[in-house]
Amino acid sequence: MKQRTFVYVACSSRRRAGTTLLARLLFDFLSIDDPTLTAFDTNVYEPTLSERLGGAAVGVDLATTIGQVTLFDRLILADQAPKVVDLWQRHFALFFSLIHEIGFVEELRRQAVELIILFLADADLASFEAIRNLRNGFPALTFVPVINEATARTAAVAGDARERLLAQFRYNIRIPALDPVLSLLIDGPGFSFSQFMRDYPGERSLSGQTTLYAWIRGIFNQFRDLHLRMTLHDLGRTLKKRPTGRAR
Amino acid sequence: MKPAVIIVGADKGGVGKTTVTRTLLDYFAAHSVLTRAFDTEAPRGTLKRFHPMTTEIVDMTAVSDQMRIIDTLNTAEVKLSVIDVRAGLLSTTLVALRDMGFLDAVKERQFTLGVFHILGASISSLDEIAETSGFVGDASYYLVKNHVNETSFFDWDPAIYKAYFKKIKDAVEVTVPKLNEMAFEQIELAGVSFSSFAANKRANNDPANYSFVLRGYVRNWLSHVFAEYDRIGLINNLVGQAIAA
Repeated sequence: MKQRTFVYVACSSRRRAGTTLLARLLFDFLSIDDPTLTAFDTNVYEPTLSERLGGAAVGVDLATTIGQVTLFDRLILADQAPKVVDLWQRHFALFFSLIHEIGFVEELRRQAVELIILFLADADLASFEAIRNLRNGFPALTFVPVINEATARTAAVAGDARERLLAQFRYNIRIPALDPVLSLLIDGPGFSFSQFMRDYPGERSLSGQTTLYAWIRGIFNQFRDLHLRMTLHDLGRTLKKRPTGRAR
Repeated sequence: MKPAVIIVGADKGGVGKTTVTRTLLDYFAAHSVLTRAFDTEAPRGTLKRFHPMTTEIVDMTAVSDQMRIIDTLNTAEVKLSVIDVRAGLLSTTLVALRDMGFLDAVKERQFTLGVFHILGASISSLDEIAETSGFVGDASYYLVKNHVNETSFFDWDPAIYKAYFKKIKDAVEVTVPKLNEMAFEQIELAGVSFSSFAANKRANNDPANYSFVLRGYVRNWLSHVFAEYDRIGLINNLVGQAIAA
């Protein structure tokens, strides 16, 4: 079976939902196993991901054809090197309009490339309605709602409604709220989640380190679980397609 | 089996005549309609660069070349001829066709004629319509608004345009949408048909390495152009009898 290339798009239809944080976490998680991965920062005006990754992210302006070529011509490559896209909220609609216009999804099917849309959702109905509509528009893509519990909007919503909505998706990711002091730490210059995990325990206060370690590990475990479940799901589909009987 | 001729022209330059001709050749190829094309940009030949297998370069002002086209309509194996008329020669070409009796033959239904008149943004294009319409009484007359090179038709007064449009019986309006500029430039550089570019192929049919994004733009744009040709019933109304064999 040909090994697939995974492309992760961290996105949200709302501002300040935490897409860059999600993209950073993904990048660091994936970089542990695969140093060949590439990240793309689509916010050319405030390239936070590029800054956080020390320039390791490719900056692309989706409003220009050059930017579109830089991004999509790379994403469609079945080179088995994972890619992470931090999708700027202002280009959220443009991104989906483009992949429709240029036939990107159809080409994904031909190539062994899996596009995973990690959608940072508030747990309100409007937010889930947006992701459901997108899923209906692009049934071949994998949509993964991501609940960022650090955002006030999410925390305010009743848990039951959120669980019911989340149950409509095969996968989901939760980013627990983090202590404000530790939030400042992870937003500090040069902070790397994967490096922190490698260096643990370090020289900072043990309690803070332990909390942060558990927080990162919890999220990384979800990524690992997501990857594993998608691989198993794909394997299951492949086995189903194979003829079962022996030729006589 | 009645031969068909499609003339693509305008009296103004730079309105995208050859671009529209190229889309027509792609459209007919997509519908497996054998076509021969004549490029009147003698001696250089712009159309021939993109469709070398089907295109001949001719000089429409030379009687010998007029004979090459018209006198072979009945005898040629390929019954559909597309003529990309050089800028400024549309009226001249129609006059020549009238004078040689070709327009009368169209009236007598010996041939089918379609005229694709590519309109520019300026008001002079509207005057061209009035001038050209005098020749196309028995032809299918298509007024093409070509947005490929971002023509906005800004200085047209819609009321005036409608007044001109009404004067021409059975004129059909066709709109060619804008194509992404970079995609257009890359095709120019590659020197291949729009279809070949979209299919990621070189002129010799070998696999190419064009940008996926640009190919996507071309594929999408071409599908819109083809939908427009479907809408006007190009195959059934104009060339149907030429391919009825």
